Amino acid sequence: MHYLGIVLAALAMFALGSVWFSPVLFVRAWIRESGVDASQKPTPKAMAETFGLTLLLLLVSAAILSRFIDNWTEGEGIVHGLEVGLLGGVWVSVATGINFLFEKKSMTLFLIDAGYHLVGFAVMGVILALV
Amino acid sequence: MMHILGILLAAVAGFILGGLWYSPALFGHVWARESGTPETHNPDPKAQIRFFVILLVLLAATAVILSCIMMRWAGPVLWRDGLKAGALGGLLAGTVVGMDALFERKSPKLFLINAGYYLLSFCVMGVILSLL
Repeated sequence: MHYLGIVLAALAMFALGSVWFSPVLFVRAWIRESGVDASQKPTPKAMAETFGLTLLLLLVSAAILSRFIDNWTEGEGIVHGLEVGLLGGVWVSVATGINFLFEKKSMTLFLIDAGYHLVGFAVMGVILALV
Repeated sequence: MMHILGILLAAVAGFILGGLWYSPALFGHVWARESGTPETHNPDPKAQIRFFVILLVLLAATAVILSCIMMRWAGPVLWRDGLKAGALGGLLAGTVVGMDALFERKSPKLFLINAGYYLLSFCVMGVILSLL
């Protein structure tokens, strides 16, 4: 296990998320399509909980990705990390796509989320391969 | 070399498992309540068929990715490796489903039902792919 790479990868995807889901990029479309009531502001405590749990989940994803990249698959270097990261990103996107299909969520919402997972997991894969 | 038979069987297994998992006998009712999806609807058969075809294609896509990962596996792929890859892949999907649930303010119950399904079905798919 290399902890530094895992922590850095999780932080990178967290940072990417705060840009991806910011007003500059897709947060307005995301709010419209997900139907989340944006006028209901969560308390600071709830916010802290959400972001804390998110970071925890990202650490778990990075640790799993690191297992696949470092221990279980053949190959090394940036390209290897990128490939396995992308595979992971496609994998989880298809899985959420199945959920979205049943919950009748919009294609736009799916593309916003899947795009984040693809780019994020690719970045994590590269960091894990480098660090 | 992709092995088509394993991928098809894995997708069908995921499909059947989903049919059971989300049936009223198991978690169908809770899922409908927590996700806010109405239970009583009579879609026309055509839409229904299209829906299930898309579903099967998506499940086959997850099996293809799993198979891609197994092809890069360091060493021979035994059923235990299939289980390991499937289980960790299921957890990976679970983390993403968890983030969705957090930000869309969905209940932990919905998260557990969905994540549980991925964990179980990816494990089954992994084992099928490693055996065939």
